Amino acid sequence: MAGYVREVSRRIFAQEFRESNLTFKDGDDQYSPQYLLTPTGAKVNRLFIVGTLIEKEDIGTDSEYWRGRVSDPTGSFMIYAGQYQPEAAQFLAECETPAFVAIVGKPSTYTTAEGTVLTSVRPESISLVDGATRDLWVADTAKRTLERIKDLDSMDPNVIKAKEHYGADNTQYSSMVKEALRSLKEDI
Amino acid sequence: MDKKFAPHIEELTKALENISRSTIEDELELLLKYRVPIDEAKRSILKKFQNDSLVSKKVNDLAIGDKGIALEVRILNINEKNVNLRGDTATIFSGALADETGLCSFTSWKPISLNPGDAIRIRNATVRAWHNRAEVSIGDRSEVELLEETYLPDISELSVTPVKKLDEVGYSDMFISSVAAVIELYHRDVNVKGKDLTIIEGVMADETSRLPFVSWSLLDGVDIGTILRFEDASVSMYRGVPSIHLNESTSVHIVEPDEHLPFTFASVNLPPKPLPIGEVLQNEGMFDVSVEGNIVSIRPGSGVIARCPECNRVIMKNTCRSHGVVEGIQDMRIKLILDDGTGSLLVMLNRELSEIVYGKTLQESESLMGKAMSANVVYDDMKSILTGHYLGVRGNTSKIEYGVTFVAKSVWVPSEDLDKRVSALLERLEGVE
Repeated sequence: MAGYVREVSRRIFAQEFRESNLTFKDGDDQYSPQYLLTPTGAKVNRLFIVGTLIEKEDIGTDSEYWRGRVSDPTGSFMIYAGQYQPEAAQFLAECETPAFVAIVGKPSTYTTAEGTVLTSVRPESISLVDGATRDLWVADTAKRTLERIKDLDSMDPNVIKAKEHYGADNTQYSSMVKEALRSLKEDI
Repeated sequence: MDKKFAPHIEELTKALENISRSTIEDELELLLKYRVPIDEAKRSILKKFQNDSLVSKKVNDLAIGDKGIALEVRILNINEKNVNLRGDTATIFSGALADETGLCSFTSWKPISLNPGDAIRIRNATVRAWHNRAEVSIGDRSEVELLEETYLPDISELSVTPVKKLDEVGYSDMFISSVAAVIELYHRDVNVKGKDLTIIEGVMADETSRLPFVSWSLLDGVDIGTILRFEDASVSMYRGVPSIHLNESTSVHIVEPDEHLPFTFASVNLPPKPLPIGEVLQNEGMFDVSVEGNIVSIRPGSGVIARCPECNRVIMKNTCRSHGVVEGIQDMRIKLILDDGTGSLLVMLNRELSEIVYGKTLQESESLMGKAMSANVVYDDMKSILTGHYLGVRGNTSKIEYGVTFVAKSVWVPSEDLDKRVSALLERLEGVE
C-alpha cells in the first residue's frame, strides 16, 4: 500500500481563489480527497495564506460561528470557523483587527440558488505573524503562481482540465501577479 | 450464478486482463452472498485485483513491497543453498541479477535451473527488503522463462562496476566507482568480533551530492580536502540513504592537484542549497540537504517529553515499555510540518534546535508547565508562536513507514533579500507577457 501522504499547502492569491469554481475528487470512494482546481491549474486540497485579518464577526445563532475576511494584495479570502475548528474559532474570538495572520486551511465551496459558486476557507489553524512574513508570502505566492502560469502549456491532465473549464486566457493572472509584486516594491 | 450479473462479470474481466473469469465470478458471488450492493462489490473487486496486474519494471525502479512485477534480466551469479524453512530443509537459489539500469540480489524459493549469463523473463515476482534494499523474490506463483533472444547487454558488460556521480547512487547499486572530495573525516575505534580496530568515517562530496563513507583501512595521506578516485567500493543502504564502504577489494587513489575535474574541494565544501520539498519527497533518503518553507503544523508529541534512562525511548507516566517504572529524563523536541508549496515534510528538531526555534529553554518550559499546572501548555504555546513562520533546516531525510522524515542538524530563519527577489520575479514576468 502506498503510504499516506500529507496534502501540500498551495499558495494561491485571493483573486484566483475567488474565481475558482471547479471541484473534483480523486477516485470514486466517498473518502477520496476533494480538490479545488484553480484557473492556473493548481490542485488544491489545502492552502496556506498570510494576509491581513480586516473583519471578523460571530454569525452563529446557537453556537459561535466566526466569519473573517483576510486581505492580500489581490482581494480577500472569506474564512469560516465553527465548533469543528475549535482552535481557529477561539483565535478569531480573541484577536484584534487588523492583524497579520497565517492560515492553514481547506478550500470549501458553496453553490448558490442562482448557480454561482462561492469559495471560502475552513481554517485548521490561524496564528499571528509579522509584516515581514506577510511580504515573503506575497513573493512566494507570486513565484508559485508564475510557475503555474508557465506550466499552462504542459500536457498535465489538471492543466488541460483547468484550461477546458476556465478558458486558455491567462493574461489576467499574470497581471495579477505583477500588481502583487509592485505593491511590495511600494512598501519597501 | 444469476444471468443478470453476466454484464457486470463481462465488464470486470475486461478491466482485469490477468484474472480468470472464474476467480472474478467466485469473488463476486461471495460478496453478493454477504448482501454487498453490486456497485460496491464491483468497485471492491477492481481494487483488490488491480494491483495484481503485472507491471513491467527496470531493476532501478524496483521498490520494496512491489508485487506482480515482470522483469527482463540477466543472471550474474547464482548459488544453491540449503536452508531450514519452518523445520523442513529446503533448497533455495540466490544470487545477483541485472539489466542495463542496475543490479540487485534475488532469491528463488523454488528450484530453478539457471546459469550465470542466462537472460530470463520473470513474471509475477515480488520485491522484499533484504539488508535495507530491494531484493527480487521468486516464489511459487512466479514464472521464469529462459530467453533465446534479448536486447540485454552481455554479462561481461553488466558486471562492470559502474562509474557514478554521488547523486546517482541508489538502491540498485551494490558496487560503484567514483571520484569525490573528502569534506569530513574522523577516526573511530570499534570492536569487530573481539578485535579492536580503528576505522575512518566521514563525508565525501562531488558537484552533485554528498554521501557518508566508511573506510576499513586507514587511508595513508588522506585528510579533509583530499580528492579520491576509488573503484569497486561497496554500497550499503540505511533508511534509504546510501553509504560508501572502502574495503580491501576497493582500489583507492589520491587524485593529483593538476588533474582537471568538474569540482574542487572549495566548490563542494559549501552548505547545500535549499531544494524544493517536492523534490526531497521523491527520494527514499537524502544525506545533508536543506529546505526552506513555512511551519504549517506542530504535531502532537512536541514539547517537553520524558525519556527512559536505559533506552532513550519516549515514555509516559514514568513507565517504559521495556524497562518498567523508571525515573524519566526530561527532554524537549519539536515535530513540525514544513511546507513550501511544492510538498510538505515532517521535520524533527532535537532539544538544542527546539530551544533555538521555540525561544525558550527546557528549564523555562518546565517552569511554564509548573505555573499552568498543565503538560499541554508548552505544546499549545509552541503552536501559537511557531505556526505560519518561515524556517530553514539542514539535515538528513529518511523514509520510514509514515513517509519521509527530516532530521534537522541546523536551523535558521530564511532571510533572502525581498527587494532582489521581487525584482527578479518581475523580470521573469516580462517573459510571460
